[in-house]
Amino acid sequence: MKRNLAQVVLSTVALLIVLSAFLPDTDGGFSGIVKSADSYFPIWFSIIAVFAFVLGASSLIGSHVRKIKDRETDWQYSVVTVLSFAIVLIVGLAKLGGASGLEGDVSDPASVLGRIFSSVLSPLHATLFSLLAFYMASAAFRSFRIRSLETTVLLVSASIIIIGRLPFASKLFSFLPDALQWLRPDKLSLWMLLVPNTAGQRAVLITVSLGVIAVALKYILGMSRDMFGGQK
Amino acid sequence: MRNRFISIFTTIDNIDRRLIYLMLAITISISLFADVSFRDEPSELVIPIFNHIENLEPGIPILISMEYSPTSEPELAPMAKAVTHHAFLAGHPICYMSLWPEGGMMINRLTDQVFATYPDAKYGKHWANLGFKVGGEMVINSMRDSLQHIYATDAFGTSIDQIPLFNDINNLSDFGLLLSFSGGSPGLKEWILYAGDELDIPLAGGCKGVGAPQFLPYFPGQILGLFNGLKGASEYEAALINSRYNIDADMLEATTRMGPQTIAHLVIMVFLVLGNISTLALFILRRLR
Repeated sequence: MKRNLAQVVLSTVALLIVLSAFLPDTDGGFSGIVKSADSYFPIWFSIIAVFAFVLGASSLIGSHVRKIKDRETDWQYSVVTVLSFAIVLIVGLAKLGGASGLEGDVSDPASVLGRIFSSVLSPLHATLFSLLAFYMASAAFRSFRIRSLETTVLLVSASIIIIGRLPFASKLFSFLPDALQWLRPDKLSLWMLLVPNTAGQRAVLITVSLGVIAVALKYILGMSRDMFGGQK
Repeated sequence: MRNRFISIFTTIDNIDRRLIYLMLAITISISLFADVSFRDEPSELVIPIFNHIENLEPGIPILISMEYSPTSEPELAPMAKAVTHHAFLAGHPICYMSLWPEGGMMINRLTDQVFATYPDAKYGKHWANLGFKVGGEMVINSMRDSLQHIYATDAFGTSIDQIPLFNDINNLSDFGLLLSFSGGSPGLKEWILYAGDELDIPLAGGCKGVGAPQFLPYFPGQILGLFNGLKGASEYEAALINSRYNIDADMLEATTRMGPQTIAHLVIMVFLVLGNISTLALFILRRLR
């Protein structure tokens, strides 16, 4: 029964959203009703999305507390997670050191939360991301080799893109006559991004979109109910 | 003799990855401390964005949506800064918003830095901050019909009815340009699908260098232009420096940051050449045997 009700809500809302995209913009009649209903869905979604945050947070804490209780492998990291979560949540909810009240800016840089963000989260994110440069250099050295046709294509295209992204790429080969200017690395790299890459990306986009339409139709028509969970 | 060459090229072929890390760290550090920088040239990806802002009638507002976190801030913040400088100097009010929770902090950090250099810039008149709003594409959907529908207040709790910048703005169609600086999802793709395509509003954006191939299929039909990573920001800065504005080059970050990135690219190229020479040499030497 519960699942049937959820299915009815899902199908009705989905059909209204799809219909509103195809119906003309008029105030009255069936089209007007559908358009009016559609304008409320984003607000309802925003409200439901807030609850999803609560659900996600409780699931995170639940799984880590269970890990600590059962002394599972690396449970110490879970203690760090739970403690960090609690500290940031309390500091953020209480708006310590910042503008108080419901409408006070939670992202105030002068608040404790703002300082945690700029002094802890920001450097941690930046450090982790900057490490990628080193891994990428090592991975490029190992994989971009003339060993097979595929790796050679990878090597040539990667080299053109890397050289083409140098600020002075337009000056390299600038001595070439006008008819051969297309051989300049900056022009070649842009061509590679705008022509072969775009063709491949569009093929993937169209294929994936068709797949998404098929999956959405299955959900709207009730042919797949796995998202409601627990069905045997 | 041949065995000696084989030994040398095998050593190069199997070079310890820690040596690559060390070389990269040394060269990047030197270029950072020596303040190495290279002046870029605007490409066909950023020129349309620059020209669009130039051709907009002064006073027409621009919306900048900042969907990034500190992870991608070094690449994306210089784009947002360059556009902010340009829009302010060209007389366009700027409205900031974000679909990412970290975006609110990113907006504060950017506006504190940029508007500190313009003492006559006034909050509410020249710029406003709507902050973060949960809902991703649904927020965009709602803004299509009415801004007031989804934003009752700005990020600081002031009713947007009391902010002069929003006097003539009812929905997304009232902006002269939408820009999304996007480190992931929701981001530029959602802005294309739910705002640009639906309302036919001029839309452009920026992304990390690795993300550009994903957005280029939308250029030039669905997006005016694209900031392709840090290089895109540096190209835009070059357009700004060459323009009618008397802008201090020290205020622009991307050109400076392109120095270490360029050096890192060159080091990677050197290793690629070395690796391939050793592979080829080993192949020939073993055949000769």
